[in-house]
Amino acid sequence: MRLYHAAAASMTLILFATRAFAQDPPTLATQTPAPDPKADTEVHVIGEKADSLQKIPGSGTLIPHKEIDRAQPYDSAEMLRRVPGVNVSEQEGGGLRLDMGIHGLDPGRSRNVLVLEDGIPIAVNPYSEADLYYLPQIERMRGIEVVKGSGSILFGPQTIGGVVNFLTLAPPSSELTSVELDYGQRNYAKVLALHGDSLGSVRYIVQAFHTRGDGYRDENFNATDVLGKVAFDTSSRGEATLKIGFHNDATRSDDVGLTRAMFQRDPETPTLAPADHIDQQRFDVSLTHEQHLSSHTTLKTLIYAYETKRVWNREDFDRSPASGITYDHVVGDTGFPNGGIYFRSTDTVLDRTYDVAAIEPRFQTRGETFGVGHTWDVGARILAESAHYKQYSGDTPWAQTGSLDYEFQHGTYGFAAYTQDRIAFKDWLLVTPGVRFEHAELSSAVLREGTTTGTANVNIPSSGSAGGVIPGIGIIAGSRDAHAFGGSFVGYAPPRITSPINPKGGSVTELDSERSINYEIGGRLTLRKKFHLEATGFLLDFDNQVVQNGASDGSGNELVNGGKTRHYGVEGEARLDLGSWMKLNTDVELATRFTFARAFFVGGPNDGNLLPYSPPANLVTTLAADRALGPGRLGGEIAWTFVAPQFSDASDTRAEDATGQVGLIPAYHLFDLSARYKHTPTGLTGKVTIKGLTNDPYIAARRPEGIQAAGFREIIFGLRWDHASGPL
Amino acid sequence: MPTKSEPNIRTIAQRVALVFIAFGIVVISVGACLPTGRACNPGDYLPCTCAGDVAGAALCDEIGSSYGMCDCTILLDAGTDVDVTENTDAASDANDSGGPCSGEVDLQLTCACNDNSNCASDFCFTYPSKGPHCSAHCTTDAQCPPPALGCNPQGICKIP
Repeated sequence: MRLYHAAAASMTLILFATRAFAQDPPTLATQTPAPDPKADTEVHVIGEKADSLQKIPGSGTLIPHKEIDRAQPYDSAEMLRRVPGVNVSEQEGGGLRLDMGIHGLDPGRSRNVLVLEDGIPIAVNPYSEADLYYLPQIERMRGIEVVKGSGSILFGPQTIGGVVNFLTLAPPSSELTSVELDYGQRNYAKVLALHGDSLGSVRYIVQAFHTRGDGYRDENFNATDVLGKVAFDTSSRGEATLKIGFHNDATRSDDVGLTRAMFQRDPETPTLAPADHIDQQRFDVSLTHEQHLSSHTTLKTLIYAYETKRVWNREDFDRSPASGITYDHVVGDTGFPNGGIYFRSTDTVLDRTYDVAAIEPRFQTRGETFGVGHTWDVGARILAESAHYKQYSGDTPWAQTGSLDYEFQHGTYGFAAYTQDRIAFKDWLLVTPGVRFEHAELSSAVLREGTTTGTANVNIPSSGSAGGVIPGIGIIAGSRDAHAFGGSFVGYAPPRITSPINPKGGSVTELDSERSINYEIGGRLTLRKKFHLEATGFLLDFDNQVVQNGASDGSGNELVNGGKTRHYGVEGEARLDLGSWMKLNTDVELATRFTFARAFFVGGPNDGNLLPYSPPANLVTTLAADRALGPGRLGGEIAWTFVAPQFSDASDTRAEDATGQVGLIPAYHLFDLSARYKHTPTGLTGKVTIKGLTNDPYIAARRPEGIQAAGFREIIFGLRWDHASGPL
Repeated sequence: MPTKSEPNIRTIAQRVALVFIAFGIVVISVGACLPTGRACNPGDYLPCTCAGDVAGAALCDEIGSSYGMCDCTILLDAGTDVDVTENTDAASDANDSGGPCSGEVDLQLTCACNDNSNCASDFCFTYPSKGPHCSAHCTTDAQCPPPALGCNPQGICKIP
């Protein structure tokens, strides 16, 4: 392991001993939206200026609004899939959930990635349960930033996989009104309304939309999402943005997937447990204040709170029949061992409420010492979070409540402090050391649990603390258009407190914190109006990684300490501006993003095995075109996604078992197509999107309890009207 | 007319397409290289056909190295597919066929159960999502003989 570290560190030093050469002005135009100076109160992990990517210490990607608009994505996952190094798995429920991993990390509920919205965490409990049950809807977004290098240490609490920051719509300086109606296969429908304007120095925007559909396997869903933002001056040097959000979704969402035989016969077999249902609500409020203390010094303060409520009822089932039980329904091949699934006429209800509140001042100042420029960031955060779990046994498959079997609550106070100094030794050489301190005080109590004679009220408290020092350094050498970067940082994730292995029995699984040492080295090269190339090599060495042990262990896909693991690979992106290159009167861009990642166990019973849900390669290639046509513009895009085969358990089992829970997940290809025409005089845009063009279903996952299928064709038509009194 | 120093559009497009296609092939090829893992999941059955076109099932061995011989006596009622929407008491039928999971007492490891009294081990464990099944506390795999799949990290027998 030391050898890996030494080699990576040496490579970094050697690379940055040489100066990159290009001198041209900034040309990351395809990655950079037009900056809106009044849209910048939120916290960025990259920034929206043309040279922002050059200044972050390490690899990063910015998806601007232009690219989101062009792709007409069904959900956020579709855009994140286009980020080098990111592995996104399709999820049921109309794009309401997200499984995302970075650098070969398990994408399960995106728990290994720090996901932010305007710089604010969105995980249900950022410290103790960093699962992403709420996913920011793509309709809210004006851009997405992804940072994977040492720049992650400005954000926390976890710094393992990287940071994804969703940038929501900014309040406009002049009137802006939009209405959109979409309709598609399987009764998919969306209605959206947006209005923004300014009143004196106050700017505001309000957006609301409702979406619904029958889903791919009769897993119907509906969601309502409301976002409101008001930006106002607090003084001649200060501005604040108040943001309020509400999200409600209700989906038919099963825990049990298809068996091997069912998927082979019909991948679109309707859900096996139609009574399974999730109801989820999220409320959030935040205030971001920015005070320019001087021309070089800014204090940005975030105050935020949010609550997530979720009730999920799941029908109880057996893989083999139990005596004395009359089942509600039975599916599959009951004559074949493990080929049938026996659904009881009862359910288990998971009722959970999560609360988070925090305050975070961030201070940035620029200065110079002995001819060396400094951009110094320092900040701190105090965060309080709590969770309250209740688990009921319901009398019917669709019961939303019942007898209380288990009750558990936990709370965390998290304290973080960080500092980073971007030192400009030369115009072409930036060195950015930083360090983050994390400390968490955790407490929990089991309030009701199962005993040998039934369930009983108890009070079993527990407490502890965890923390770490997270140093990092990044180096960037070169110009805005041609630079190399590299660095190293410590990856850290606090210990999880989550559902015990057997809530009815009350035995809690202890999970340790996760630690890794991360290295990366790479470069970017841009030639104005011609191409943009980027490649990054990475190495992650884990002392302990929490992994899903797999259904083959018989404990229901619970998380366990996986021990030492190692990830290495290469990721990159190439964009060619073919329209300019070939002197066409049409904008044509061909882009490809790739990831090669090898993530495997080191030592232990699974030594050398690949980690579950870590495909060794993926590739996304897009061809987009846009041109003036009559009184408007015509545009379109085709996207091809390839994901290499991956394993679903730590033993790297190849053969698919009868239940569908274990076995190789074969490689798959996915094609998406979109086209739109905007009639400029009226502001009307007509569009059509075809997802899963080839209608070639694939296995997206084998968890929690069987095959989850994706890749079905879906055609959606849309009509949008935009009215703006100023520039859009 | 295009000159030698200025390749025409078709040439550029062809070269670009070739580079991208070549790169795509490399990614797909590299991605297909996977280590040799466990062949099958211990305790799993694979459909097979015996002599005379009789349907059977082959059992994956305890270490997951391969499926065994085709067993044509194991299927309870081969090919019985039950529709998702159909309510049935097939479970009772299945239990009536006899075997280690029939009856209400002395059920063997991995049989579905309601409470401890159903199990020979006197331990009916509620597996998340799988529900209650006869299990046993364990420290070694030997304490969880087939059809159990060994001892899990929490000291409970694994079930298929």
